[in-house]
Amino acid sequence: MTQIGIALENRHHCSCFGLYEKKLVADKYDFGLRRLRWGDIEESNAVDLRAILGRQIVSKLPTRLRIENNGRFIAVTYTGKVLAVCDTLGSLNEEIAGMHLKENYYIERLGHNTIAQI
Amino acid sequence: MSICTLPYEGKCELNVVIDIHGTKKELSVLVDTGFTSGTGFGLKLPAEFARFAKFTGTGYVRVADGREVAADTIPDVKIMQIGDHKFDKDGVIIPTLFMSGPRAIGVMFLQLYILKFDGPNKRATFDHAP
Repeated sequence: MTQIGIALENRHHCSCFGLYEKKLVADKYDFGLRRLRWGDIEESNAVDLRAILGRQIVSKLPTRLRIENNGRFIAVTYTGKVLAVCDTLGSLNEEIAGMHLKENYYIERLGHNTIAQI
Repeated sequence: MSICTLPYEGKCELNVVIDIHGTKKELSVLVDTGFTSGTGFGLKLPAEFARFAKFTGTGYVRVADGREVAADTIPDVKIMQIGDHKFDKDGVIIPTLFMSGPRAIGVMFLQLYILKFDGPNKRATFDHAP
């Protein structure tokens, strides 16, 4: 139970992804997470890991979807479910706020590296 | 009458009570008119505050020095109080970014009010729109 993949598959809460899903995308998007132990992951690293995994999930979405929505904002869960695609980050946030979510998600602006400049 | 008057000496800090998915926190934030609504966010809180959220959305943001930084966000922090002025039970919902650096409140919230910076008298005031 010390490895992320095993824990996820057994419905344990994962501080990295915040999921209770039975099966994550770990099999499809494994890039070394299984080598990590729980104690190795600090919250700041968890944010980076969520971002890396999220970017990988979006990159695996159908090419047509990504091309047709180039420049738009997309939110996807770590199970690969597309929550919303909107023209602006503001409208994406509004839509997500109304969803009463219980799981974490990743946001990307398709065709761009970042969602905002702070 | 102003709903909130703040000391203003080159910078202005606002005491707010916020609600992060049911957890209330009182803190001081920098009033930052350069934190535009075009960013898609209206509040910037320390990264550790993300632990109070029931869910987060993670994304990359570009910071001033050009780096791309992964940050947690939530779309629905509620601002319940500014200074002594309390909002109704629903508060004012503001998309929020959790990352290192100063805590800041941006234009997405500020634009809801008439905000006056009075340099000579060293004060800033928030007024309701007429």
